[in-house]
Amino acid sequence: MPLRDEWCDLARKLDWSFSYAEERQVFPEALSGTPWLSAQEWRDWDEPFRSTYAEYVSTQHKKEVSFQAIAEAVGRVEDVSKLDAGWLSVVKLHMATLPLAEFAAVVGNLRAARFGRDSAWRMTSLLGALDELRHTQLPLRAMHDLVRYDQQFEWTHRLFHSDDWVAVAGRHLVDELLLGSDAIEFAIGTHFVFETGFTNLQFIGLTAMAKAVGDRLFEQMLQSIQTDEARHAQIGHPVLKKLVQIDPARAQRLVNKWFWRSFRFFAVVTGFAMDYLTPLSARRASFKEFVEEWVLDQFQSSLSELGLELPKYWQAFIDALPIYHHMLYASAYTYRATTWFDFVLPGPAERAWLLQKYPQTWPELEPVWCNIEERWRAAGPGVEWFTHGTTPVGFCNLCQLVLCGGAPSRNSAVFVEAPGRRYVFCSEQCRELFFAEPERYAAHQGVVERILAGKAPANLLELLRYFGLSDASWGRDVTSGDYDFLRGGGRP
Amino acid sequence: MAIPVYAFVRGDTLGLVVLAVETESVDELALRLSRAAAPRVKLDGKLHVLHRGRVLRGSLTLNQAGVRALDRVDLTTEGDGG
Repeated sequence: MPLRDEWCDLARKLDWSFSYAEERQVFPEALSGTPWLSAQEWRDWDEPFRSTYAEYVSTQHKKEVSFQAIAEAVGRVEDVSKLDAGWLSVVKLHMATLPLAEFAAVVGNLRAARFGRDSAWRMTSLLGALDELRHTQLPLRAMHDLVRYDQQFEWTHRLFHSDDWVAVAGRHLVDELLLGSDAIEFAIGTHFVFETGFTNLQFIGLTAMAKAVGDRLFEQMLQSIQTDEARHAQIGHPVLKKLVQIDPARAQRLVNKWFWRSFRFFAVVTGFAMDYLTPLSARRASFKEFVEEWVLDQFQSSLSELGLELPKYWQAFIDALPIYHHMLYASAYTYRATTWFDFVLPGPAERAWLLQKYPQTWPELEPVWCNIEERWRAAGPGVEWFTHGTTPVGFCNLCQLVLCGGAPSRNSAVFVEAPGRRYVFCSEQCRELFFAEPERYAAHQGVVERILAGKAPANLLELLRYFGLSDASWGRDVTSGDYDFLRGGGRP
Repeated sequence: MAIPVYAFVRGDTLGLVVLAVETESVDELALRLSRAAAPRVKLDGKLHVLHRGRVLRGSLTLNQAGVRALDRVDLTTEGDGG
């Protein structure tokens, strides 16, 4: 064994036997996770990076110096103001959803750093917590100076403190996954599914797009974060491997659940960016192609290697992949004032590209965009309200996202009558997950429940204020309808 | 009495929550739904409201038609398969 590896074991495998307390008291099942196993059974736990503290500090220091140099060189208002307006919405969307979710991940990692069942697991989780603290502060710092240029950048800090519908959905996911899960569920849901399975979409796919649009600050930030994620995401595999040996049914259930919930989340944050907000010239592949390249293959091989089946909702995911984010984007475009970033109206060239990438599903979406386009023509530039909805929209009682499942010809919303309450879900999958653990979700009030309870206003303008938005921050069309292709008069 | 109903318009991309009135007619509700979805969907032809698998007669009030709070209704047009 090389000297470094010997030293790693000496420095990381530090558990001892308890004599003044029961092991179950020190590591209670509610926090350490189910099934509860003795330390002896976890003693072979290991992950491939095996970083020591000294290596961690040295590497992170270099990354920080490198990123700060980039931020000082290209992170000024005058640099950012040169970027494409649609791309700036990508930045605003990602920068708002990232830092406070990462801060919640600090807590999740710290819980595992205390209640993880092997000392090497706990140490790696502690370094993971430091990573996530870094990922909280990097975007907050980088976007801070941009607030004076554009108030929408303030939402980097504000989103999770607001009751905007995206924040309600984001917190619902983050609170459960990062704050409310035991160490085993956290490792599988966060590290194995969310980070290993999906964040490559963000950190590799979007990094390539950032480079293509010339946004070096965003590119460097994502790259810098990705190297941390790649390391601490490795915690998930050995935990899942052990769970598969002891309780394969539970292992499968956790993978099923977090795969579906993660997909719903990434369809918004990555689907919008890759297929709509990034300028056509900078797109390397569609959202679907990126998912096929970075999620499907990797997931299938990882699960197969562990002896697990594909997630239960795999076919539903395959069916939703070419349409769900399109349903959401068209809906959000016509409710754009309810968000803190601006939207791009896909023109003839973008829609031809979307048809080519989504030949089976785009024809159902095309009439929606033709209608929006006709209304912009009728109203003229600047008349945002004519292409904007005013009626409250429905949200799923599990994922808290808009009821956008299915297709324009058949919305997949599911209604369930329960004692004292009627529930609505965007899909059969969300319904099933809700009723698998109703005690976790039943008390939550989504936007519609708040309106019906008189806690939130039903009038859209008042609702925007409830969301924390103002005329200076709410979303608009990036050109306010002033597109060359709208001036021609005819249809594309 | 006002009753919120979930509404799905054929061709639309999302579900809406419309505040209806028990005494308004099914036709009036249909018109309101079509206006609510107008930014995304242009409906041509006679409007039909579906509730629990059947098409509601336009002249009935929502109360007479049995539409209750938080029910699902679907709006379709003649000949679109709804």
